[in-house]
Amino acid sequence: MKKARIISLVMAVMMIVATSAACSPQAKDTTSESSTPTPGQISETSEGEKLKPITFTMFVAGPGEAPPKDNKIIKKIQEITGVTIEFEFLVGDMDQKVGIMIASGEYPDLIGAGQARGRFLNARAFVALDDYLPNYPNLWKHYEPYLNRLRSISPDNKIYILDIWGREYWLNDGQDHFYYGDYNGPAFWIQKDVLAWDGYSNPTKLDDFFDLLERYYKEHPTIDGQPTLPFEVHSQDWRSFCLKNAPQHLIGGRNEGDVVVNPETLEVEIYQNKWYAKEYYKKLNEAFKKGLIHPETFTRNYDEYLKVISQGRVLAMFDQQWNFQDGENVLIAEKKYERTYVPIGVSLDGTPMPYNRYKSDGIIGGNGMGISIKCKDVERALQFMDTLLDEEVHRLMYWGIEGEDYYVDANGRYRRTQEQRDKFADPQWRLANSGAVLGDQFPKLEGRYSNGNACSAGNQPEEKLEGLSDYDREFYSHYGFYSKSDFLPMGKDPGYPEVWSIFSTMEEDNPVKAIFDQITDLQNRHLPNVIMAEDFEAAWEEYVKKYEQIDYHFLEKEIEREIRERKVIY
Amino acid sequence: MATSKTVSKKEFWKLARKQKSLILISIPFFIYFFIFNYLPLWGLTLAFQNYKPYHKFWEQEWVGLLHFKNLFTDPDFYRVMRNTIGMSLINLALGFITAIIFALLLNELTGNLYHFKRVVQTISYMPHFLSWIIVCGLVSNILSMDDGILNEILLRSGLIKEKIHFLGKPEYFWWIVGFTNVWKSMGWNSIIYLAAITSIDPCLYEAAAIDGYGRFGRMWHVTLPGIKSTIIVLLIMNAGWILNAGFEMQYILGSNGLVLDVSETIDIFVLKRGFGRSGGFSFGTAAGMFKTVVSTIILLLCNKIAALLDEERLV
Amino acid sequence: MKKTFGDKVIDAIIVFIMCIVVIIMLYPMWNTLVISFNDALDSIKGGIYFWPRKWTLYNYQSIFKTDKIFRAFLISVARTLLTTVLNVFFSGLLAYVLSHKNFVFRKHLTVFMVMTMYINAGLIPQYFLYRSLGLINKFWVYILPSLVGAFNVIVIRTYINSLPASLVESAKIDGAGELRIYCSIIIPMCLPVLATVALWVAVGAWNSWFDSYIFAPKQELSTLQYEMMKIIASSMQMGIKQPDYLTESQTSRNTVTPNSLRAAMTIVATVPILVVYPFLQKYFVTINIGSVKE
Repeated sequence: MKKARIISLVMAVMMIVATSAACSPQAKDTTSESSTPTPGQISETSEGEKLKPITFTMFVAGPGEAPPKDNKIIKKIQEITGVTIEFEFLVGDMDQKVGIMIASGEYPDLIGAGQARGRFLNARAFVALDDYLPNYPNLWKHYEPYLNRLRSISPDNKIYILDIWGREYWLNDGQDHFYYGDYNGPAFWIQKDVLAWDGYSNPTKLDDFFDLLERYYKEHPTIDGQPTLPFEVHSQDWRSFCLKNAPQHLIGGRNEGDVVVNPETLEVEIYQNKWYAKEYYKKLNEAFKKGLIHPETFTRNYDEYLKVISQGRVLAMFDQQWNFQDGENVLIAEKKYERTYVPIGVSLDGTPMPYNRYKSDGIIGGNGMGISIKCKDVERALQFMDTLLDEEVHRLMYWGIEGEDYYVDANGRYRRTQEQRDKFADPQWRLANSGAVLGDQFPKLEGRYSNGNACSAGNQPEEKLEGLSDYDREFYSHYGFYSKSDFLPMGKDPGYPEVWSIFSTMEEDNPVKAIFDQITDLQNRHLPNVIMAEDFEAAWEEYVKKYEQIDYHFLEKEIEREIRERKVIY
Repeated sequence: MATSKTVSKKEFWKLARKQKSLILISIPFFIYFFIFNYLPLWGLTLAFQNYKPYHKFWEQEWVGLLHFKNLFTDPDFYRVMRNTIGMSLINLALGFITAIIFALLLNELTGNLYHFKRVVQTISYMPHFLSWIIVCGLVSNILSMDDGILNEILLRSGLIKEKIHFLGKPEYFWWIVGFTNVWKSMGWNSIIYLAAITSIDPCLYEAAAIDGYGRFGRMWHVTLPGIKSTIIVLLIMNAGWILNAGFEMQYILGSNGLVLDVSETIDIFVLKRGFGRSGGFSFGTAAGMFKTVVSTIILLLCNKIAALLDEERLV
Repeated sequence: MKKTFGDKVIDAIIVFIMCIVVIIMLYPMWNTLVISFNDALDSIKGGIYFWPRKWTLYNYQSIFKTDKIFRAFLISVARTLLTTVLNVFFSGLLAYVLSHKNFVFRKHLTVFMVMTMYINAGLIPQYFLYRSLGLINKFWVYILPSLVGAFNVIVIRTYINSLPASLVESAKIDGAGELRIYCSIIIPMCLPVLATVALWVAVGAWNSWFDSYIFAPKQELSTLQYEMMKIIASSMQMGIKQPDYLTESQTSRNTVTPNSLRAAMTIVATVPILVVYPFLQKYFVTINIGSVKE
């Protein structure tokens, strides 16, 4: 069985190479035939007006860093388009900054709405783009299938925000799934060595999972001379999702936030006070009593959490990979691959759950940028964005300059030398030499180019495979897997956006928000004590009783209503 | 008020004519404070609205005292008030005592120890420059059960048998905040006392020495009285800030379920209740108004007490 | 005064206490310095106390990677110098005015001023004020709002009051104007307290970034602290949404973490202001009252 999967994997990779070799000349043809002008052509054809230098200011409601003016790619794009973007990123509190921007009506030309989307929308800060879009071929192709979703988030059903993520292009040649990025979402993450020690097991039952931790802990009370921490429950501030979000997945839910949605009936329920949550926290309570959870886990701040992970002595935790990635990077840098993590689709009954591994269903609406009502030249801004969606320009942004940042091998595949990879791994170098810093703030291509290559290096299968360490390759081979993502089954998209994203476009005076705050506060305050309680039943009872004082049914109903509305659009 | 009442109108004008230049100098200050501090006070009307930044002033929804009602009827309000005042008092007491003692001791370093004094002083205010997030990192390092130095010391010296989870125990939290504050600001706060000490007439020390007072006697009878007015003025001013118990440290170290009940201050409470909600700006403004009123009352009270004791006053 | 044996014992005890204080106060700054020179990924592991484990200048390089930072440094210096000089001068002047016990408007002005310490109108009204004064995105937005500080005035006034009253009186008999008395007598007499206030103001002006962020976000007016806040804020986000860099690659990467950046930034931002104090310290000598009397 396992062997068969490895063989199929190897074959798959060979097929990629073969097909891409076959289609690469063809791909070249299509680009030369296509009407989209190449960068060279643009600069030739559009003299005068079109290239008149223009500077757009852009505020991004999220942290980030403006690229230096002499970034080589951005310079090139400036030559092509004549457009300079002057970024301002969020530094402090979003409410203050956005509040003042809105109150004064002094908007920059472009706004990356981020989490402030609801606020900007309510303030009517954006230009409606419905009439403009059809005039820009790339943008139109990009958004045409999703116009309803773009409209769904605004009160007057017009298009204000253009999503910058989620529009993926696939070739449907049977190879597409290799091009998905590595899973970095929520799961029970466990050290590879624990699984290897257990004979490469895959403990998807909650009881088995903790049983394995206990057995491993007994034999390995210390790791590298320091006490082993079998299970961490991080809970500082907004990162308390590590404490709270597990129960929804244990019964097969997606990463919705604080509710579970029944995919058939679309019924919504708060889960933190339900039986399956109780099962989970009871398990944690037992684990705490057995010493598998260190009391200090609740007071560790984020830096300390990363510290214990980087020391390689945390066996497992419920978390999202990007959250502990810095700690894991230390382990990778020290080549302690056996201490890095894979996700397990743990459930109460042992059925492997997908957690948040879903095939993307396109853009969700509202997750992007808009053109402000103060923009000095709306058409020019759209023209700029249209150009960025050109494959040639996009390649320049995400792959770089051929021969300098990547090369094309004999099969027409884009590859990087180790030296080039190292450069791209250096954030400083990237800021000065990669166009991604620009592209990340605008609509972009994801998935695969028409010639079969991935739209960014991180998703190119050959690049991914070559990056694997020998340990990892060997480790995955025992399972017949090819990356950590394979530990989770691929779920079926339920056809509505994740609930937390619905939440973030809600109007701010929606009473749901107040209820949500109450719930969050209650959970943060009580769950650690429930886990550490001498008498679990009594502590749980008290917690549930407090829960009943909150009108959470109203929240459930409201969210259900919103989901139904979205479902129609999807 | 008392003086202006006792002075008759005639005398007032006589004085005023004599103080022409003083009045002339004062006028720009009046104007300055008015423009920069009082003019924006129209913003306090936010407290009575459900303010939405993108609406014009006349489009706002007026809600009367709703936000004040929300503030005072919230069951958590009294808890956060208790925490705020508790931590504030600890900060105030510890802060004052340590800074004064430190200044007094530093002042004793004279003669060939003068250069040592300067070095100590320069170093003592270094913690002031560390951001709270760095400070909190250090604090939790020191107090950690894992490899924290304090637990190590206590354990090795036999004072405790089992490591203490300092940051997870509500009973320690206020004191951790208090002592961290001392550490961070003792040197910095002592600068003002050292400056005040320079105004003391050196003859007084000589006289005290002749009267047979020793080192501590002179400290007690000359130095301390010499800086008394500074101490009192600072005390009155700080009493007015009783509702500002800090924010960052409580937020960074105290936002976990184990100590949340004792760590939340009024500022954190307002941030949580107001954040991103309808009327968030308004709620914050209402809380700010409440704080101003409390500050003013306490300030006036302390000022009154100082007046009764015939000490230096603020106003 | 000659020191007796008892004095020396007391000195020794004080020196001992001070040494402990120095260690406790110095160590965190030292540790921050050490971390700023240590490899960022390595620092995550903890256990770095007195000496870097993996030396690097990368943390500093990532701060100084652009010329923006140097310009920002100049802006910071300019605003700090200007604010300090003006604030100390005007605070002292007002303190001198208020030190006149019989000044007819003393009470009114004091109350008017003291209340500014406790009232806070909020950010939005403030923004509108500055906008109507034409200060938004102007250098003067750093200076004008902090020309006088109520706290500073009170502190200076208290100091003046504790000086022998005869000094000021004698000057007045000479028929000198108030401004002249202030400049030629009060300022020299108040040097210790003015130095203290100068330090407060300078540190405050140097450390503030929020006003740049809200009132003067223009790149040309960016201050050192604001630039560094930007770097830190962006480093928090690194890798979260960029799938390009999420592979399990074995590339040993040069990287920064918010923690290491913060350490480097603390050093960069603190050293310039730290060297100010020793210069101010020389004013901390007991004034020779006798000489002023003459």
